[in-house]
Amino acid sequence: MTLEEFLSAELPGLSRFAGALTGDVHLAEDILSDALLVVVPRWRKISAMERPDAYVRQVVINAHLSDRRKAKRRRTDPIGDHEVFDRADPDASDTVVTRDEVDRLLARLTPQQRVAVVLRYLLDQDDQQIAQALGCSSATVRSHLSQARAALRLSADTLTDRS
Amino acid sequence: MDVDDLTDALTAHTPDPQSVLVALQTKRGKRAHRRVLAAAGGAVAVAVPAILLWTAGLGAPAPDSSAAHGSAPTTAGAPEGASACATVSLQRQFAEAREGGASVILAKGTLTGRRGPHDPEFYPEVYAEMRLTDVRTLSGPAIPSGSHAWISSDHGPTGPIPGTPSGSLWAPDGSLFGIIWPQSATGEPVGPTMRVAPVVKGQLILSTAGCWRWSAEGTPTTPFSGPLAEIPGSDSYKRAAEWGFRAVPLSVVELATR
Repeated sequence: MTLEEFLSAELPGLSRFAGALTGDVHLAEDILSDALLVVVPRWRKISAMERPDAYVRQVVINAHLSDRRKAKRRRTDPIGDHEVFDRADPDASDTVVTRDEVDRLLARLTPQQRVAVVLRYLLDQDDQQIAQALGCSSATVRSHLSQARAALRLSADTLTDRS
Repeated sequence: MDVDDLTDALTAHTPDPQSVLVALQTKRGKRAHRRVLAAAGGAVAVAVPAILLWTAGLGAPAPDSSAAHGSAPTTAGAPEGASACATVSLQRQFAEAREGGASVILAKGTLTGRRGPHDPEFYPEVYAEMRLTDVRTLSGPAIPSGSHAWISSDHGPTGPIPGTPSGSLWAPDGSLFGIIWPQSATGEPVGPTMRVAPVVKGQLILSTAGCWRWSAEGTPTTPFSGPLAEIPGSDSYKRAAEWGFRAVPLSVVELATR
C-alpha cells in the first residue's frame, strides 16, 4: 500500500480519532500532523506491517500523550471552574445533556482515561487492545474506564465490560 | 449521558484532513530547513554540471528528460484528497510574507553544488544551495545579487505524498520568482530558505512544486508545457507534471505583491 492510498483511506478516520483524543480541532490538527511527521519518512517500513493503521493510530496516541505531558509541565490550567458549573445546576440528572456539557465532562478526564474512552467507544476496542495502546495492564484499563464512566455520568446501559 | 451523546461529542472536533496535510507540509519544511542548515557547512560542491546538462537536454536521465519536454499531463484522477497545497491566493501569500519579514524577488538562480544531507529511508528530502543574481526585490527587505538561499525537494519518482509540494522548479535559464525567508523569521540556526517558481517568457509557472498550483484560483491562467530545471535527482518536474502546469502573466503577480 502506498502512502497515498493509506492517507486516502485512513486520513478522515485518523482526523476523527485525533479530534476525539484532544477535543480541540486545532490541537487535533497539530497532534495528527506531528504523528504523520514521524510516519511519512518511515512509510516503507510501516506499510510492510500487518496493520499500518493500528501503528499510525498508536503514533497519534503517543503524540497526544506526549503533548499532554508537555502541557502539564507548562503549568497551564483551564480557567473555567467546573465546580461552579456543577453548583449552578441543581439537578444535573434532569438536565438535557448538551454538547458543551459533554465536552466539559470529557475535559475532566485524565489523558489516559480519555484515550481509553475513545478507543472503547469510538473504535470498539477491548481491554486488551486498549492496554496495549496505553502500555498498561488490562486491570488498569478497567480502572481508567470505570473512573471515566463515573466522571462522564454514563448511563447504566453503557457499563458493559468487554474484557 | 448515553453513548450516542458521548460519540457525538467525541466526533465533534474533527479537523479537516486537508488542514492536517497543510500543517504536515509546514512542519516538514521547517524540519528540512533545520537539517539543511545544520549540515550546510559540510556539503561539497559537485552538482552544478548535472543541472546544466539537464537543462540543456544533454545528460539527463531518460524519465526526467522526456517529462521535461512533454506536454503537461492532465490532472484528471489526481488524488485531490491527498493534496497538501492549500488554495491560498497569491495576494494573501505575499501579505503573509511581508508580515513575516520575507522578501519576494525575481532573480536568476544557479545551484552552487552545495547539498544537504539525504537519507532516502528516513529523510526523503534533497537540498541544494542556490546563488541568486540579477535580483529584483519586489517586496520586503532588499536581497542583493550574489546572495545565497537554500531550496529543497522531496526525492524520488512519487515523493512521500503525491500532491504535496513537489520540490523546487525554475526556468532553464535560471529565471525564478521566489519568497526568501530570513533566519530571523524561521528561527533556523543559519541562513535563508527559499520557495521558488519558474519564470518563463514573462509568465509565472504554477505547479505543485513549491505548492504554487492553486495560488491563482480565480485568476485566468493558461496551460504550460516545456522544459524546467530542478534539483538533480529530485524528480520534481515529473511529480509536478502529474498535476499540470499553469501559467499566469508576471504582471498580474507583481501587482499582487504590492
